[in-house]
Amino acid sequence: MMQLKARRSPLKKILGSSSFTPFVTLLLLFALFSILSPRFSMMWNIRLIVKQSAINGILGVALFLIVLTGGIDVSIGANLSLICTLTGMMGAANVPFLVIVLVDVLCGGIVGYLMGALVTKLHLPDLIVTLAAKNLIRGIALMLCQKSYTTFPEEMIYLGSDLVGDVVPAAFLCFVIIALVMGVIMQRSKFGKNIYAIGGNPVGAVQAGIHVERTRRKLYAIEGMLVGMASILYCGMYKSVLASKIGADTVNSLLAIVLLGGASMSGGNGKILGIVFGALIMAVVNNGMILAKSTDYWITALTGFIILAAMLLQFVQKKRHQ
Amino acid sequence: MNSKLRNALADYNIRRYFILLFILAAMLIGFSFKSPVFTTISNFTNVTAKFAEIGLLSASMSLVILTGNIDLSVGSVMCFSAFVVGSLMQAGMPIAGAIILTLLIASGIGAINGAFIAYMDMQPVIVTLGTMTAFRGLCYVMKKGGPIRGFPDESFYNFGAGRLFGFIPYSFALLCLVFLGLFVLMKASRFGMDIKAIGNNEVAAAYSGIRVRAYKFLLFTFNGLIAGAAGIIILSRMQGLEASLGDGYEFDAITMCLLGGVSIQGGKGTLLGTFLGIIVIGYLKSGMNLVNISAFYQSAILGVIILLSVVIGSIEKR
Repeated sequence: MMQLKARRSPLKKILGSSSFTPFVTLLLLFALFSILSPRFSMMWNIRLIVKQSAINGILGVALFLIVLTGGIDVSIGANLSLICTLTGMMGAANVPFLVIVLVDVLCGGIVGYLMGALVTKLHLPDLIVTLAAKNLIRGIALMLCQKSYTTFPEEMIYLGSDLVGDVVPAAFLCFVIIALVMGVIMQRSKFGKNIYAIGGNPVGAVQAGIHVERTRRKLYAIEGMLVGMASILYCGMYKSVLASKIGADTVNSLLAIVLLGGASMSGGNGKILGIVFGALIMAVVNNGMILAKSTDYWITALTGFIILAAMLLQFVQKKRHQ
Repeated sequence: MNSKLRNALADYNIRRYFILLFILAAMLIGFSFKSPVFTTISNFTNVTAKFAEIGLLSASMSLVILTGNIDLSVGSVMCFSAFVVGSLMQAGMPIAGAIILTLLIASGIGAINGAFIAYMDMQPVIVTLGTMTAFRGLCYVMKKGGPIRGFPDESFYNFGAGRLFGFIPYSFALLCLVFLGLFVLMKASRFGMDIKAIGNNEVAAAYSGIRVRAYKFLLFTFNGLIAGAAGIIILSRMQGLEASLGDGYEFDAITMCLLGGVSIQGGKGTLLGTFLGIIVIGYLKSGMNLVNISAFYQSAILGVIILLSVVIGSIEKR
């Protein structure tokens, strides 16, 4: 696929990139909300927006990895609530920061790997496995989390809520670093090329000698690890953990992020950069609607309509392509 | 005799029925040790009234799953329809008019799903997740002033409170009627064969002259219609509602179908299986409430059940 592409001018390359539409959408929305509310484009508000984009952004990247191979995972929110609960329990027991990070990432990875194993080893449909896992994990999290936890290590609170050098929120910086690392892996490494190959043409990928099942298992594990990292930021940002309040609607917003970011749900399409823009768009919409004094309630409805509209847009683009 | 039984048990569906009946019997006996009221007629009335709405959802859901599709929006559409019918009645519309209009709107939402999935070839999971979120959000928007309660015409409550022969809730009777109707339709016409063919191999079905797109569109529309009916019934039974009503009902409905032996990949399963699945899950939930198992454990237990039933299904297939 890469070799078949003719050399194109840099301008055309930018215009044709899957991240271009999300970028333009972001700019337009930003302009719109700046006109609607003068407070929107103030520095403190922009800082708030990028900070708020961090958690869902990392989770969006995690979901994107699964979507890229044509799969789906609806259990991310439940996984987040479980790991946040673990973090809260460890925080209350004064476990050192680095140990918490290690345990969180490891737990997330294990949960993800188990789901991946069910999907790829037993050949079960991913929707059903993750739907069942969502109920199961959520049940465990709610059992563990009988009260809200509020003690966390200082480093975690710094990562979640403070600014680096009085300019950039640390949470957003974490998100950018994670996105960068994942982006480099996806674009430059053989592993990343394999993932795109699996999403684009699973049968062809098998014939090309790619270990499809093993790669997908690894992806689920990486996805879980990313959820673990997001949990750390979550705990640092909100400084209070109650499992029943975390992640109930997460999968909808994440899906909107992934779709807005230019990924196609059938797999093989999209870039991490687009997902970053997608996360920023959703944060802008959330923030802008609150500033525009619309009620909170509209945001849920709007998320749904954004998903449908993005699907419609992809359909139109596909039709035009043919 | 013995070989006859063995032959019967070799059939995937019949084996499912036996297992489910066995589980049901074990459950009835086990829970009635804990509480003697569990097997009484009045408890039957209570339990069936509670699971009839989800049962309705899983009746049409099993058809959708049989074609290899899925609909996650039914819980939201149900809640949204309940809001619509309630608001219409509060605005002074007569009951019959409000119900007809609500059913039309609900079918319309189903038709949107159907159009996206059948005619634009989009993934059912994503589309219905989108409509699920959108209409759940609209429920919150409509709620603003708090829950809906109190309708001018009290006879609306009859749907939920009425009992056939004094002990069968109207909603459960309707559920049986829907199942019977669908059962006859599937046996007497090519409908049943066609949707199973679509579930087994959509492309082959299309080549053999089955109008795959029309079927899919119709089934999703029907699913919307049923969700609307379930919404009306649940509003009438509860006599009021909150915007979070029906959250997770789609999961329960899918669990009932899968437990009843409907294959999530489509093409395999029966309505009778789904019906047994509904009764087993309905009684299980009631039993778990009876022995005070907390909602957290309940959701975990249902998660395990759904996993087990797909794992067993996939092992049996090999």
